[in-house]
Amino acid sequence: MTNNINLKEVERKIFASYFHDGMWDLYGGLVLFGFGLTMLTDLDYLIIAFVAVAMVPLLIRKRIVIPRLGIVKFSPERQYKTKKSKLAAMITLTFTSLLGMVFFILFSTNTVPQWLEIWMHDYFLIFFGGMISILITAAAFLVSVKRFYAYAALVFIAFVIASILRPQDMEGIPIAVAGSLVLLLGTVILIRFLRNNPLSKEEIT
Amino acid sequence: MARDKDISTRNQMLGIDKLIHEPSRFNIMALLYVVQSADFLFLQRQTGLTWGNLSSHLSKLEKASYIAVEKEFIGKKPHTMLHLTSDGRNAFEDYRKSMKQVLKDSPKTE
Repeated sequence: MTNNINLKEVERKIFASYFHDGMWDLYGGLVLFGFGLTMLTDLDYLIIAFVAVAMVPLLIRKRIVIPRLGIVKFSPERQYKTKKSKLAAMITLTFTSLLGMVFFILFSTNTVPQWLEIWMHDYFLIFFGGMISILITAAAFLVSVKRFYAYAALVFIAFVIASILRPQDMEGIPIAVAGSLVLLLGTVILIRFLRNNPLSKEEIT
Repeated sequence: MARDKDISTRNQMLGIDKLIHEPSRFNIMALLYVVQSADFLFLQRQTGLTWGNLSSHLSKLEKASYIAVEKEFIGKKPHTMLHLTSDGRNAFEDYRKSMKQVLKDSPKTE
């Protein structure tokens, strides 16, 4: 039994090791920072620019990680689990997007019930922060990366503070600060990853 | 020489596979046991062995038919992947069982 658990732990650690490069942190940090900055400046295109820039670490991630960590094909059980996780993430994203579209249509056509309008005005940031936190927590659970749990908590706290600071028109500050923290940590993790895993000098075929 | 023979006989009695018993090779076998296949660099990073050392251990495991090498293409580049054979998988499972039994049967010291 102990041996089984240890081997599962070995597999879990191998899987998690492919997320210790800081690239996802950079992506999340940039999006969060961009979101905060957009709220502060009211320049809507900023968030689009930040999301576009944030895609860069994800696009080059394979080129950075694979030559340094090597290639591994996980067991069929893990592959099945990963497929299931991706499907769950897709369903969640589709559902969230649909919900967003419904709200957008309701607001743009001025058909929002008054109670919902009041509720959205008072608690929207907390609700939104909560949703993002749940998504990050689910990601942390699926990829077994503990720091993602801390990010989920950080995001939720940032959005709660943002909600409190909203009357003073400073709601972007805590979100931008949280984004900067994640960005900073991601940079540190990436530097550490590159230092600890230099490119192999031997020709690998 | 006689001592080595004694150890070998004792290992045989305990049912311990000497080839897997070596820590580095045990590490390689354990890693390949939990995944479907992996390349040389992956094993090097995970085990912390040098290039030459890992090559030598892999050769021994391949000679015993515990691991198999498969060539595949990633994009246009040829790539070597390693995986446990069914013999290797069985040998590793037997080794684990034997070790568990040895530890279970060991007399307790006060």
